[in-house]
Amino acid sequence: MKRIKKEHLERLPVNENNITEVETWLQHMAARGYFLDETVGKWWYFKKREPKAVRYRLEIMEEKDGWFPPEKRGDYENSGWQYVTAHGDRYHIFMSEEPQAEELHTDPIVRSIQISKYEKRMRRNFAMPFVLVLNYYFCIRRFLLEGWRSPVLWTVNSDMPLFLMMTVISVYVIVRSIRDMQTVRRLRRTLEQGEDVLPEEKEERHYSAAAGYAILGVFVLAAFFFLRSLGEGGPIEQQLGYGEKFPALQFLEEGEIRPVVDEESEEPGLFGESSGTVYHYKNPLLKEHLTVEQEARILPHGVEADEEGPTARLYAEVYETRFAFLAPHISRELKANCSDLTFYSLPQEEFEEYYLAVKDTSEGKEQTLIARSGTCVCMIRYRGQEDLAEKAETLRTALE
Amino acid sequence: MAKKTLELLTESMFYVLMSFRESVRCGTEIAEFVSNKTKGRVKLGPGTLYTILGKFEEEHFIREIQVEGRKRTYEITEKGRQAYEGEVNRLRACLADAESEGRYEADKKRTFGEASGQ
Repeated sequence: MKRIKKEHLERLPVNENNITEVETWLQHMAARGYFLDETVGKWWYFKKREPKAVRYRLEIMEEKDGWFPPEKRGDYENSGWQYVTAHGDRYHIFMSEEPQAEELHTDPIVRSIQISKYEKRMRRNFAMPFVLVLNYYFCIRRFLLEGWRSPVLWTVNSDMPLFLMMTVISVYVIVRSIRDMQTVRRLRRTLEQGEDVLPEEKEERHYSAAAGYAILGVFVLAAFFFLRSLGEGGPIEQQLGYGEKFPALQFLEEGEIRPVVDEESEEPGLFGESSGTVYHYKNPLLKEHLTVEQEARILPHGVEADEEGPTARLYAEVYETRFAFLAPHISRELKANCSDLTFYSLPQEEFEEYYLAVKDTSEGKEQTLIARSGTCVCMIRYRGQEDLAEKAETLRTALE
Repeated sequence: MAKKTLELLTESMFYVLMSFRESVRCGTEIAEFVSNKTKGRVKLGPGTLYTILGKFEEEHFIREIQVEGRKRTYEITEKGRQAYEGEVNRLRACLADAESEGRYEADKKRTFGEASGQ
């Protein structure tokens, strides 16, 4: 025997702020035998019964806590209207199975007072889209300030997919909020003119929640890109232990690498027990994008571990593109971003481009290297004893 | 934005306010009063009734005086009485205008009828 499902879950296929549309849809569902039980956000639960022509009406919630006073409820029930449920902090839902029961609202102008309160509440909630607009504005501003100078670097940035998703979401939320406000305003104005607005009782319509699922998909995608944009990685020693290769002091220095320890407190330095961190970021245009930050004490071979050694610092960015044409642009933009430096091109067999700039700072000599080989581009900022001009081969190995 | 006050009372608002003239009332009593007074001509749905009561409380036309179980009782305030009297006077003026216009029409008909020998 076929088992009849007693409960049914449906995603709201109409705009939840369009009161008449929601009422029409609920009546349509009841005519198919699905009677509303409760709502959880966009998901509405129905109970299966014998199909019946009933009326559904939404009453704007006036109480702050979503509570419907029992004396009111009693009067509504005496008038033939059963309380069904509350939908968030928006409205209470009533149903009447009695065709002769008086309408909940018999005076359109009085109803317009209730709708105008709802409109005011919506206007207050409009703050959220504004926050999104503000966020969007800062992203645009960042693009105008940075993007126009280095558009390729900006495009291959790990934030880029998230930014695109945020743009879609911002536009959607703003357009939807404006559309909702217009829908409610239109209803209020019609009522103010003394014209009542009731749902279509015999309307045959096809409802689809596809648009809602598409929007949900965009939100899920945005969350996914957000998580990916955070990057993953960890201490350099650990990552090297996994067999990874990347530009690190371990490759560049001749001596032994030791984490920096504060001389006075003897507490571990910025990177704890490690000498630094390496993080991998994702972007659809890149096979690999990582950043390395490292600060370590270098102990020349054969020197006792507790003896003092010079400190070296390194910051590196590596880009491996999926498309060869992007690599020269990344290299060029990286160089352009260091406008205060004078780069010298050094011919190297291992690299198609090998640019080095040296700058004297209060903390010592700082070398900046931008190198490209095929689809791989790397930028290294290094403060230490070694000469990066002589490290092309070592670097090539680290980038393999 | 300043709160929009009631400038005119709708028919249902007027009858709800009228129901408080002689006594304090709860929701069901108001609905009964309006139905009896208008012989069912003015319909008062529960949504309309409670929206009116909420608005009147907000405007200080009525105030809640007692909550007993599921019964909430209200009474009219001085401001509510004034609003009611104001509306009655406005309606009286409208009626007087309509009646004088009716008399004018009747006089006109009579004058022109006599002149044409009818």
